[in-house]
Amino acid sequence: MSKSEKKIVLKSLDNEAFEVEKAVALQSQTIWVMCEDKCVGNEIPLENVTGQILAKVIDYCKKHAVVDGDGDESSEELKNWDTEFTKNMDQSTLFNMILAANYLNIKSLLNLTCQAVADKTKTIDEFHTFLNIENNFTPEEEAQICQENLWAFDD
Amino acid sequence: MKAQRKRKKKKKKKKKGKKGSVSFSSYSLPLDLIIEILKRSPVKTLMRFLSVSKLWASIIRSRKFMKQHLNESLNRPRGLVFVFKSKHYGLTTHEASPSLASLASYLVTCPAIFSAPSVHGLICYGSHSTPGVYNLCTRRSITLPDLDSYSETYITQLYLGYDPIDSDYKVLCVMIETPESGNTRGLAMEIWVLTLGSENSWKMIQDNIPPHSPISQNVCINGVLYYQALTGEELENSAIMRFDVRSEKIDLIKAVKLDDLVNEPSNFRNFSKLISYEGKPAFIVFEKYYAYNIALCVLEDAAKEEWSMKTFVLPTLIHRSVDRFQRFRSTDTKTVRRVHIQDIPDEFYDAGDVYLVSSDQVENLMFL
Repeated sequence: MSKSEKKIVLKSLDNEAFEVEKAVALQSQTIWVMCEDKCVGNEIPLENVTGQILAKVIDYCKKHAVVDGDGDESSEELKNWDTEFTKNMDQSTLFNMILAANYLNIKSLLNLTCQAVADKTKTIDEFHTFLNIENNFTPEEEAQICQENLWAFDD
Repeated sequence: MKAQRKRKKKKKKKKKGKKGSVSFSSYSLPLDLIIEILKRSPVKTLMRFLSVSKLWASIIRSRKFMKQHLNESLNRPRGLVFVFKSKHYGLTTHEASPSLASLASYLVTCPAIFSAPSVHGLICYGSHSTPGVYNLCTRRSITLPDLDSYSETYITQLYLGYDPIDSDYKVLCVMIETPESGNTRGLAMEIWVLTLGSENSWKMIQDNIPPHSPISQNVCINGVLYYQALTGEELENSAIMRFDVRSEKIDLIKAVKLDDLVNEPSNFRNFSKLISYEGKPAFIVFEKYYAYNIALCVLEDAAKEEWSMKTFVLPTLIHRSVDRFQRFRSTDTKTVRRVHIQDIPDEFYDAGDVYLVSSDQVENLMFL
């Protein structure tokens, strides 16, 4: 990679273009590999991520690139920022963030978003809404499982 | 980010669909990502999720998943467990934040009275009759398989250890010869090991067992189970047995004599408690007349049998429960933080002394 290529353009599924510092984008292992292999030009098409989600991913990468760079900001501060970052995201955004983090291969963002969903999701219904799960238990079987773990259902 | 924003309906990912191919939802997380979420979920949520589908139930109940889930839990702050003496109740609390600003607590009904410390939320109980292991998190217990050697001639002592490399729990059963008279102690004759979850029978440790008489005090630190013992002709010397949970090797570490550590050893009681101090095993020795002064003998180097000593003065309010001190002592300043735990029902205050305090409570799915 030549040193002049400081910036890189990421293009979302819906053709939204984001110009970012290379150091920011390279936190994505997927993009890193693409650049390393020189299989892309200065513009990288990301076919699985919408502009709305990509904008958030870039926010995250910017924050984490800065902190890794100067090392002055405490990890405590970064943790708080991460908490705030996911706090007001709705489930659907979070699921899309997980998919994006997985596709872009950003391990820390994947951990963060999976933890956020795990913390927020308390009932089966919340998952049913977002995942296409077919319950193949008979009503009797389901009732029995619930009966065995009754304490888990009281709030 | 001011480029035009043409919202397109998100294409369904062409990953292997969950079930069937018709999806009305645009979100179809592949199974590996669902597992990423589940392994970070609390046990209570996972118990609800058992009825989501057969696939989910089999994932959550699989041994591999339980281990992944436990490893995630071990990266989070630990909670506290209190077990009260006269009632078969326990109380566990979870730290919501490192500042301990808020503590959520819940009650569990235990199947027995425990005296052993919890190892990441599992407690071993019983001895001769129906020994078992209870999970404070799932509130379920398992009964351990029978041991052929159980007999009139032996008494048994159970310990629980954890190997962080294979994420395996092992129960150690020490067979002790029945002493001739009530005042003497018996020597360990046989040691048996059982790996929880994967084995149904005990296996005996073939190595030579260093002569010792086991004491129930024990602690498991970084894959090593330490238990207190007495050694010597007259069983007059204190020692720590060191059992490597993974390799199943056992050896003996001589304990330092109290005389060598404190100025006036006669002021201290022989009774001591084994705890983990900064990742090392340590004895707590109480002063005879004022239980507020305690000495802490820390095993600095197991190979060299090197010990160090620290003394602490506890505020009167908490002297009864030294584990709490262990937990909330701040390492350098010798200060004690007082933590007010709310939501303890009145009946617990009536239930007498706290029998057991353990500061090692994590989300644990074993025996679901």
